[in-house]
Amino acid sequence: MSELLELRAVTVRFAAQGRASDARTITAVDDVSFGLATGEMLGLVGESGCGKSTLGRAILRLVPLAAGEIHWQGRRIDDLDRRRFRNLRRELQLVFQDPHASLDPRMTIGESVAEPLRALAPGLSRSQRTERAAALLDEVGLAPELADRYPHQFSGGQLQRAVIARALIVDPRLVVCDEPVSALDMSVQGQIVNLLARIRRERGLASLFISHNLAVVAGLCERVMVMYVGRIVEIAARASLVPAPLHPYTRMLLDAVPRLDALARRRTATAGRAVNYTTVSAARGCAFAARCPHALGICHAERPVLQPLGQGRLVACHRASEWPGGLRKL
Amino acid sequence: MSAGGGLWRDALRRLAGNRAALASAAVLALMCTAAAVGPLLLDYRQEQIDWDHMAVAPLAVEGHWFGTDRLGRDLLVRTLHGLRVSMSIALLATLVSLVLGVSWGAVAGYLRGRTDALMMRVVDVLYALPQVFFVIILTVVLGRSPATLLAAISAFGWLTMARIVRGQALALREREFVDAAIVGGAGSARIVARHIVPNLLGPVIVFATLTVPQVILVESFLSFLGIGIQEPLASLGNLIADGAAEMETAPWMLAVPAGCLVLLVFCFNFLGDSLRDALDPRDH
Amino acid sequence: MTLLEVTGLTVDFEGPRRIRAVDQVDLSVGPHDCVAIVGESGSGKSQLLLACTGLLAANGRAGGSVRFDGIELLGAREAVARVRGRGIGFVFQDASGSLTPHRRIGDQLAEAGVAATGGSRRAALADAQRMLERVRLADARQFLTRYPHELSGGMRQRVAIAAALMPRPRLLFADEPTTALDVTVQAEVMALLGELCRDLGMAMLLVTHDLGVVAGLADRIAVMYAGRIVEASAAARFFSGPGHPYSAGLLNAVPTLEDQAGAEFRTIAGTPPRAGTILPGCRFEPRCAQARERCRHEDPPLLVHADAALACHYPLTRDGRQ
Repeated sequence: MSELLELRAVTVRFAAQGRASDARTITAVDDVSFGLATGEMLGLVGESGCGKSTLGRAILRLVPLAAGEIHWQGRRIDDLDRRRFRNLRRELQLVFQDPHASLDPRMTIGESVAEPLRALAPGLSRSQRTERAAALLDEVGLAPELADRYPHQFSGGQLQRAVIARALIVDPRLVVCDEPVSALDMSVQGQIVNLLARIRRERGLASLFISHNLAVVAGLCERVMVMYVGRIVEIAARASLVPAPLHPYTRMLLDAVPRLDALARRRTATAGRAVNYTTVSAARGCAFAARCPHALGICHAERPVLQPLGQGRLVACHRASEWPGGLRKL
Repeated sequence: MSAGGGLWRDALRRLAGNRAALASAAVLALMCTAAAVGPLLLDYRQEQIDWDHMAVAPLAVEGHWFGTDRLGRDLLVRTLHGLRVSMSIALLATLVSLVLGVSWGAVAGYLRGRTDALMMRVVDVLYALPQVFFVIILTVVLGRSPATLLAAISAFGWLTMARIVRGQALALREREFVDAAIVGGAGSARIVARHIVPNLLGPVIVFATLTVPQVILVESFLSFLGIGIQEPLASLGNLIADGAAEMETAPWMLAVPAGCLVLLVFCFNFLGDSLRDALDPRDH
Repeated sequence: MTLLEVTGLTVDFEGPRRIRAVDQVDLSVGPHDCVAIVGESGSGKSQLLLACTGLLAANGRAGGSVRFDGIELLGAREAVARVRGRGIGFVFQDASGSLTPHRRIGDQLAEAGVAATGGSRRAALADAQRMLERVRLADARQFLTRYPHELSGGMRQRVAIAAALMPRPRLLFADEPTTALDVTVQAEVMALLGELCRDLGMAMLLVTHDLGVVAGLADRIAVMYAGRIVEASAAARFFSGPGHPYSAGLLNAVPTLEDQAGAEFRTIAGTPPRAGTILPGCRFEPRCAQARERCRHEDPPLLVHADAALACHYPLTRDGRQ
């Protein structure tokens, strides 16, 4: 296959916290399969707790898989021993959400940016590492003189640039961006998104862009995956997803995005009553059934599987074939 | 090791603003200097016996500012020597407990799982042993000397440090910059040395400052019991023991070393507390 | 007749340097107004709110005047205590700011009700159930015996709102009430807040960094930048054409689905200044695409005319040009 990265039935579980008597496990990522091609920008959108960050971390082997396989360039990598996987880390990198947390407060920016080179490019001398770090800082729009400063002296936007520099310094082929702009000010978010887009173009990087903000994901990524409670519910090209979503949850996400024309109009409270969906991940049927305006009996009983519906679209919904032109705005 | 630049400087500045902390530091510095060079400047040697002036009160005789003991030895000189011995043992034992405790705790906390459980079980077992008995046994086996005492105290001193460091390391392990280092290919050794340890130095330094007075007290107690430093060497502990015996007839023999001990312990405790406040600002 | 009158409010923080977080802010909220203060990090918006309710950190100093119903709140601890939980309600960003984890929801709500209005516990519990229904929690009765951690974030926030409303406050302060919630829940909770304001005849002062979220809710919008209000006007007018380049930039920066796919995201160059940075001229000048020489040297004052206020030498006209 020409896929750079491929996930097959990947599942990640955690022991639930809480009273010792409920020994529950939470399935954070539930039977997820998809492929990512070389140079592709794939978006993953979903709300908090849906498992999208966990998925990103699983790809980078920060959490173990409970089931499933991950393939890189055709070879299986989830069962590699630690040393062999470490060599692979040169190709797979991660941009974290909160730059204040993902940079060691006791190291200078320059040291943090250069750090991956120590393990992943051992042939370089110290001055070569410093030089590379300076070059990367320049590439992300930070003055190289700032390399000797500490994280607390920077704003969030500048720090995030440094985090991106650190991810790129080893010349990876795939960068997973886990909510890279969510912790930043609104007026600065666009800068970082534009930076990521530019870098991706210039370097031909493949990227998995994870976010809860569908407007950003739709503007940036050619293909979008929608995730709900650990499961992928829809995959489609942006051009078809936005005008004609096939999954009711996608429709809900689209409706939640502010629209220019509606900004001045007074909103009326939605009729929906809040539903207790804390135990949904153990639900037998469709995870979204409890909130879905189109749910039927079968939705509560049987779990829908991701089905291809033509033109590369996949949807996990029992009723998706009933609205081939997409769901209209509620 | 490059410390978090501004973070340490801020702490120092806060500390400098705390007048009581500065006073404690000054007193400690003075005592250290006195212990180090004092005996060289004074006329009397610590074993030197002044046959004419046995058990004289302070300032009663010229030259013996703090008086003399039962055997006519100058109390000031003996006290300074005692201070030297007590402080040396305390600082050395604290250093050992720092190195051993930090490495043990950091590794256990970072590796978690079975390794952590095993390592902390060792700590738990040692913790449960009665320290005094152990010291006695060690003294019997190895003979009485400052070195034995140091070994005995060090054997237990690192335990609490290890527990504290392990707790800190467990928390630090969850921080995102550790994940970032893992993604950057760093091995466990580098992560512990470069990311975990530097970030827990704050509480460790504070704890170490508070450990020193504890060790001094333990050493003094053991010497008081007769297990620690022995005559003719002086330590604050055995000076206090001698002084206690003569409490009614020559109270200064107790007052001087005891006062010294109290001052020492107080200053270290105060400094440690102030360090903790300085390193842990409530406002960002 | 205004309910809340803020005049010349300043908030300073003592430290190695004295930092001015809020610089001479004037604000008024009428009995039925819903006012939204929008700003980013370093704008001082949260400190403004905390100063009004006496919740500033220990090293913060508030100056100026904050009058609630004519009573001065600044520096008058008893006045604030009396007013907190009675005339004024508070909703935090994180519901755990208002809900104790180890007590049942019913107990907490009832306590809030009894403390403020007296009366029996039983009556307060019944009222609590009604309030939970008001915030659209299905099957309200079951929530009375639940603990906060058993609920999802969105539901917890609804409960926190219910708790804040139990004493029927006349003014509700809300600090980023939906920021910690999922996007699909945000719209619901914001709409709920708007509805409650109208139904209960309550005024609201809302602080947020998210312009998109206050659309359709606020009557008036005030934009803060680097400790000052730079623009304030009626919401409809604001969204159809803000006068300050920063407001326009913020509005532009909200990504929408109408944007051309693959196009550059709109943004404002540079970063918001850290609290306490002092500049000779306009504080927004370093980032302003329309800045001119005068902006660098002269700090534009906040000019008020009609119902709007603006601090800019060269404000934008309705069609976006100057």
